[in-house]
Amino acid sequence: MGQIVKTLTRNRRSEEITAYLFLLPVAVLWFIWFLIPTAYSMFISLYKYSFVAVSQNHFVGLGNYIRVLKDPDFYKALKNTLFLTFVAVPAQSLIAFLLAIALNLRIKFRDVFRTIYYVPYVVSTIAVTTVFMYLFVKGSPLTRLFSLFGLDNVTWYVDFKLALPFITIVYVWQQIGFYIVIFLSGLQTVPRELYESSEVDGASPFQRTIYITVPMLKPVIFMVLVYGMIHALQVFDQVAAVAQNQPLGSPAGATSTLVSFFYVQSFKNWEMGYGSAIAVIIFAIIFIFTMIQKKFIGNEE
Amino acid sequence: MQKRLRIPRVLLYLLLSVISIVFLIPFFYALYTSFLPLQYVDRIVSFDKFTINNYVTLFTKFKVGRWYWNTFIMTLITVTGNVILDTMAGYALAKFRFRGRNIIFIIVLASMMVPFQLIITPMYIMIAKINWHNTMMGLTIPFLYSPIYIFMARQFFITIPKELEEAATIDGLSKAKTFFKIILPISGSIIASIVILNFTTTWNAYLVPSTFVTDRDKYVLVVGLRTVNDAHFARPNLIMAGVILTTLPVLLLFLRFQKYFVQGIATSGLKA
Repeated sequence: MGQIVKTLTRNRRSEEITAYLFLLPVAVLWFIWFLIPTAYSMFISLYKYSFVAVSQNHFVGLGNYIRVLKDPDFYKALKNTLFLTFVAVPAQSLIAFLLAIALNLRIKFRDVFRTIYYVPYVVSTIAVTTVFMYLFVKGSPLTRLFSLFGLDNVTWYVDFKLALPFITIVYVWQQIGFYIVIFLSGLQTVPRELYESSEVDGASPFQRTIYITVPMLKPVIFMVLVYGMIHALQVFDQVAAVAQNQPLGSPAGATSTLVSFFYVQSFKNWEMGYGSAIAVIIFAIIFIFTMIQKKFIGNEE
Repeated sequence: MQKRLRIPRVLLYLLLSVISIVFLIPFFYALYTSFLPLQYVDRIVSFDKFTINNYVTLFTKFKVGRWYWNTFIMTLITVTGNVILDTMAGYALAKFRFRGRNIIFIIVLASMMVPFQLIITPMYIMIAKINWHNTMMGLTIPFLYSPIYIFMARQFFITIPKELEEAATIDGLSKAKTFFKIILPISGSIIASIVILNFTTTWNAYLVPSTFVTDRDKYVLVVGLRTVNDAHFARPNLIMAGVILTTLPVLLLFLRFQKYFVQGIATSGLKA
């Protein structure tokens, strides 16, 4: 009896040691490359911290945060980011939802369609944006097509009015596939019997979508909307691609986003204290969206 | 009943096909243009006008071969690290009993919420301090693990029946050996998901490589492509060849392992 207890304790000990050893490499990396930088970021957001003029760094308290809230460039970036978010998120969610429902019907070539819709999501954003830049130059078939609807026949990404819509189009085009995947896996959890019994009751496909699919998918829809917002609030690569040799956010700040504004401060002006304060504010904005998600989904369950 | 449904069916296929064209045209435009001599750009020409000169130019006049190698090495190291370290951590969180397990799991979840902007500035300062800028170390070491894949791995390992591990214990295998010899060999699907998701993210990464590397010889493809695009925008054929070279490896991998890509997104996306 005593022997068995001893063996069990020894096994328990060795299990614990193995667990810590399994977690050790990740823990070390996490400590060095996550915890320290995160804490450091909060810390230097309270300093005037320049990477190039180190000797003049000093404590400024909440000075950087006050400066952000007084900076017209911040509001320009915020406005652009919110425009992109509130156009792109409903658009990509609705298109993805409808396409997922279509793909969930018993149709031929379903896998082919699905693959085609996913593909944009897996390729480099810089590459995708580059291709679209050529597709939307002045006089191209696409710009001429859009000019029929009253838009100017100009090169979109250098036009002050059309540069941000351009980025939004590229963004939505690339993101749709991701949300189709999410919706499709959500649709698979809706029991087939629900549809079959409603079919017996004579419900049309449209009615079935509104009265069965949407309520059943509510948690997934919230997830898609909130995750979509969190992601859209951090757009950067598209902005970098269209800027070419001009400053980030070109033309004239028309494509400046929260993250590109942060990047300019931290890595172009080397004002890393100020940049970190902006990063903390972006985090706060994202955190609020996440809490909203938690609240909604928590209520669902 | 049958008749009533037939007409919308046709419309449905038509609609899905039109949308497919919207998704495919940029790829075909890039592929087609990449084979054209400059004077034929934006014109419809027959195949005999095609040339591979743009690709040759990229490899001879630019450092695309070099950039390919850098991207390949960066991706290889990062993906290898993630597969080994994330599955180990995920397995420990799923199957081992130890003090602090719940707290560590909460830390993993919380880490997924912190946006990268908050980390990159101090990370850059640290990288610069230890002279890791312009090195492969700076591009890979901080990214050898990822909370999202740890989470995915944990969710996967939890579904493995414990009888399997008990049998291994009776056979005298230690917990660590059980993981490497019994569990990992049957975990192909989660490993494939991590590989393909991490491969695409790393291969396509722009923010970090463009910030941590300023030496042209050390560029990765995406960053190199952007500089070629900036300097030679008037040569669409050359740029499109660059686009094809950058996207082709990811496209091929995706088409081959699509199933795991979808599985990975579905499990990580739904729960995160």
